[in-house]
Amino acid sequence: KVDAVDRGRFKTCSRSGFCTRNREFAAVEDALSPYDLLEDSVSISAARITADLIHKENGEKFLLVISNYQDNTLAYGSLKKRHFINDMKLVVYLATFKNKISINKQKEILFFYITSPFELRFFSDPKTEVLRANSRGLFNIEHYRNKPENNENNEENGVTEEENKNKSKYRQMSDHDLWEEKFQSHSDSKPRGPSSVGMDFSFFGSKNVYGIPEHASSFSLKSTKGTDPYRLYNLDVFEYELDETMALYGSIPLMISTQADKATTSAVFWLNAAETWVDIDHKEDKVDTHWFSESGALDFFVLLGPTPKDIFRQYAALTGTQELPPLFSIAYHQCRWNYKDQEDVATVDQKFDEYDIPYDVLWLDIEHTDEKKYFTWDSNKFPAPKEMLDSLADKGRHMVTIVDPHIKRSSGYSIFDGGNERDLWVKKSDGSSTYEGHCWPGSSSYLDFSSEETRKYWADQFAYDKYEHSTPSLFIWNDMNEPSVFNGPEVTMQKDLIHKGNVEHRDLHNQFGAWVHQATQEGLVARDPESRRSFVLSRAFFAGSQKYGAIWTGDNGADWGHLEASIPMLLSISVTGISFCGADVGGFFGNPNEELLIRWYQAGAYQPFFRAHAHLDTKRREPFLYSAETSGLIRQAIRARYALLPYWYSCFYHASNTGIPVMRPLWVEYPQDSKSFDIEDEYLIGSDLLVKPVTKSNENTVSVYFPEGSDGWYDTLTYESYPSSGHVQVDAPLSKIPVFQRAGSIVPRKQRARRSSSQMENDPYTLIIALDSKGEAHGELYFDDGVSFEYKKSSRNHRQFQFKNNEIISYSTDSAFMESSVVIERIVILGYKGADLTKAQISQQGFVISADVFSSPSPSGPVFTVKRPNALAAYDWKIELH
Amino acid sequence: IVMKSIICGVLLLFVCNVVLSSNEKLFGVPDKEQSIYAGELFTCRESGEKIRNEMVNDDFCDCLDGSDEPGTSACSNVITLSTYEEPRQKGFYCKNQGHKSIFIANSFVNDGICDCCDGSDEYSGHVECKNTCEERGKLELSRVKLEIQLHERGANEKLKMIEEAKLIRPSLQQDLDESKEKLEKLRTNLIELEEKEAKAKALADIAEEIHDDDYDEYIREDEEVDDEEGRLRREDPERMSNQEKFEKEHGVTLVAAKEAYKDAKSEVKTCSRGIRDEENRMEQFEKLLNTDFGLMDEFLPLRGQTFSTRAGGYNYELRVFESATQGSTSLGNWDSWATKYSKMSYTGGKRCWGAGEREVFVTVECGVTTEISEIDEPSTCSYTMVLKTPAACSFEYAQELRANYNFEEELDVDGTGNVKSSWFF
Repeated sequence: KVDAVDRGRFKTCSRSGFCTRNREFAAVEDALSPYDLLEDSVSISAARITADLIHKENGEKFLLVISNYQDNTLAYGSLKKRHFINDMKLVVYLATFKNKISINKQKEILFFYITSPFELRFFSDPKTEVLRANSRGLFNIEHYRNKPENNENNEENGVTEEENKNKSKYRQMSDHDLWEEKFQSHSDSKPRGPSSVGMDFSFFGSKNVYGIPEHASSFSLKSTKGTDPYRLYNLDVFEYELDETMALYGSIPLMISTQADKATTSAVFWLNAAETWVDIDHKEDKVDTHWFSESGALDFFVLLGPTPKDIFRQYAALTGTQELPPLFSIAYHQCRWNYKDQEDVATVDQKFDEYDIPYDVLWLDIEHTDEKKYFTWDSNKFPAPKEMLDSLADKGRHMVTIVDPHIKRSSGYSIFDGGNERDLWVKKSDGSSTYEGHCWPGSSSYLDFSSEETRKYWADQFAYDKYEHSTPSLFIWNDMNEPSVFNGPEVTMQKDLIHKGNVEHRDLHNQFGAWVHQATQEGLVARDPESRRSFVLSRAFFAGSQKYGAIWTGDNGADWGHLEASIPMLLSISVTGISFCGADVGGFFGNPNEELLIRWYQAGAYQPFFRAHAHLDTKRREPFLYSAETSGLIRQAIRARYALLPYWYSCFYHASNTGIPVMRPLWVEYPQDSKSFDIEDEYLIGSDLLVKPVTKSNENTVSVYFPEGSDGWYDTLTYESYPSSGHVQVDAPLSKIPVFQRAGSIVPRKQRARRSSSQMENDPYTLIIALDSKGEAHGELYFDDGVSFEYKKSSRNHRQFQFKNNEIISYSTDSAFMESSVVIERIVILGYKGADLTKAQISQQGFVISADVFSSPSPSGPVFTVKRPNALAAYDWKIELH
Repeated sequence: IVMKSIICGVLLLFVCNVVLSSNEKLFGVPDKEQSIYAGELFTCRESGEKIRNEMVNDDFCDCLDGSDEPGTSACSNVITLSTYEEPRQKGFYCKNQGHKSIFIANSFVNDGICDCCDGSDEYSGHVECKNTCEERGKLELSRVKLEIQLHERGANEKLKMIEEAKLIRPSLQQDLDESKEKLEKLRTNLIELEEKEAKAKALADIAEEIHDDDYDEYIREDEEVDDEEGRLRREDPERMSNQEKFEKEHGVTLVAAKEAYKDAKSEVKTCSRGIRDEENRMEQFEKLLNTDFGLMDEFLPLRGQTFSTRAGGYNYELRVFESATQGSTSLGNWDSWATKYSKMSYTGGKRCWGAGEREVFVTVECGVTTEISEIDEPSTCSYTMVLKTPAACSFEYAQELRANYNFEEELDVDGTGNVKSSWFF
């Protein structure tokens, strides 16, 4: 088995010029920052401070702009241009979400600056300092300069600089690889010379920092002393390995710090789409971090929280929230490279029904196209795609086809011709000739997605009359959008390629994939104006990708390690804004054994994007191919997902409103519990379900940690109650994934099995009420049509449920309303301590009916079930229990 | 709007109850099982709890095993593995008058998709289903008729194959016996040859010891040797070289002794190789003799027969019970029946990058002549073929089909397709 990443293909820090320079810059412990803030230049208004910074040795001046941000004042869209600002500015956006900055060097401060050497300090409240910038003096901007005329001069300069260095008490940038840089057979001409920007941030009172995905690494970020820094550079890494700081497919330069003492959370968002590295060093009372990017403006946002939920809202105000997915897309997806032909598709679809296993979406990988020309079909294998799509749609199912951004160079292929006619390509370093690289179709060119014109052109291709045989039940998957170029340096584009506006690829690399994602999403929305939400899965991502759809963790492997790694990887992506994320169930490369496959389905059922996928060279592994026992356990896992769809959908609604992730680390809900800060093998879905997937072979019990500050938990399978916090050993036979419902919560479910989520529309709800120690509980249910944008206007229904004093009420604080005839068929009450309940009286809009309440045993006392209260879920109601 | 929907909600409930409980026959249950649900108390069929009769089909799941809701989807999430046996024995019963009665999954009840041809699974009013049983019954009948014909004709061919196998079977034993005999002979022969070799070796060893003719002890005739010793030696009539001594003693020259040993060694080698070859052959014969060629040896005549076909630009060849190839690439060698008499596996073919060794699963189906009818590669380097052969046809199966479809008359073999309704339930 070939299962190791080819390290030689990817750069380490020592093979990257600017990484080496910045690390050397930071290496001397006690050297001073060469930058001062010129006191006289300071200008202060209510919303901003401007000042000049000066490099004390070479005299280069930079403008510092510090802006105070308020809630909902800025959409991410207006920020994008700033990657390319040439007159270097240091832009600090202080997301205090207060009306005014308090700038006072003595007291009542949220922020102050020090002039010499220049330093910034940030406070979440007057007594709590959370962050310092440039306190270690690592701020640096490599100013634009002209390439020295000849080598002789260069050497002379070198000598002089060398002498200067020896004399200087300030930090010095070395001249390592300032100009042309070589890697393997590739050469980066760097016509604009060195242009890196760097800054240090120290998170005070913190022991844990999170975020900056994507890495196959721990959730709580590790110190990088002795390893390479965490690298952010979107790359197609074949067979990636675990516990690595190597770059992967996506990048989000957001880092969040938790501080237990005062339960404060703060964050830095480094808005830069060029290659970026982050060094981390855990100190006694702080976490030191050092960020540097190869080019672009030095542009960062400080988010001061102070709660995790504040951070998510503040970050969402900058980059957007998770787009509310259509309901079908949070159900189960069946994918494989490749379902070979129409007959294969029909058989797989049929088998799911035969084995009574639900699924919503069948996927077609690259082999469905005519010679990897996206938007086309191989007519031998798929003679009647529309028929195929319609027959799936008849069962309420959907299909996803892959559409990648590399375009086969083949005249007569409409996308290639269209790109030529409009001249929409990424250009070679000369800025005029079209770039060519190798990908799946062979020789390919790449549309320049950084240009709005290209995105519009691309979006237009998804119109029903353009994308042949497409129907409203067809959705899209963008792969290889890092972009992947098989014969390029590090399997991607050369950095000196030119995009629209004479922008180097170097400056925008990490955002390329997000633009592809965006253009595709816009195309799907535009084909059904305002009437149908889109679903687009992307492999590459950047800050803000949550607005365009889902992402997944790329080409993982069918081994226990990758299953385990899926949790920290998805947590990292979740807390940095992208709620709709998942890992390939079963593992992409290799063949999982049945135990691993079962455990993976159980975990995947409780992760936001739930798709099974497999490599072309693997054995078939559809859930129905196994023994009755194995298939039965997989069916059970998938059905558990479907039963909880009302809850998942409600969580996604919150994510789309407030930016709060669907999949949450414990600290989002329990920021005062420092014991939870290092936990990365269990997590919450919303605030009410705690999940501990089994990720090791032959494990029949697992240790579950219940966070401090919670009021107990109930096993969702056995209803056993766990009243106190701390570690508990819980049974986890192969048939069970440990999942717990929070005491004090009410979780909505739909308990009837169906072949897809579409058929659940009219099915009744079950409410599970888990009482807290006071005998109370609260919960929510959100629903809408699951398909359209009507929910944004008024067609939605957001219910609140409350259990108090033997009374359950349903009410809404949302003025919007959506009609529905769906009733509540069952209410299960856990942890009820009073006298036995036998009857329920249901009042709704003047009608009163009664229902039976029966009791059944559980390991923690009787469980009471209201049988068929049949209250309409859409309306207010009250149930009195006797 | 509000009031209306409340009434609807309450009405819906009411209607449901009427529909489900006022029927004399319980919904979703076959006639022969109606009595199980008839008493005042219903005993959950597998989990054993007793519940009141009105809780049966009341659209709420009461039994742990889900057996109280045969006619609704209320227990669709409660499954037992036996539900998935083929043909399905549990679930919602569609009577399907005019066609085959079947059970469907309870999750299909009132899901908006028509599954029973009589439409009985969709009674909630969300969708209207046409009754297609008669139409589908006709189609099914002609399909079954063709299948019966195929099996009966094929089974006649199979009888011939069984006869043929009876002739081949003894030859398999004979081959084995002959091989055993030959092996016995070779082994005896080997002992003799080894003895011979040992003797020759002993002699050759002595010959090896003799220095290349002890030349220094000679004094050549033309040599001037003046000393007494030389003179004496030259004149000694008994004077012999060691070679001469050896030759005299053993009756062979030094060279011949060495040659003889070489020859003996080579004979042993040849014989050993012969034994190994024969052992292999015997193993093959034994394996063949132990191969399961079907209950009546009906697959035996196919052994070693080659069937080929072209698909996707490749030539595929199956040597039954031996090997499979794609062009010159090995796809695998006979391994075993993956499923007895319906699926063969050929494994250990040429290794593929990423996907391991190639393998082929050959599904065996009834056909009047033997041929490969389908080739597929469902996952990389894992192939499937369909082999049609009379050996897989069965009179019993044909009879079973006739019985299941309750044919009253001889099968209409002239193909007019006239359907008599009495052929169905």
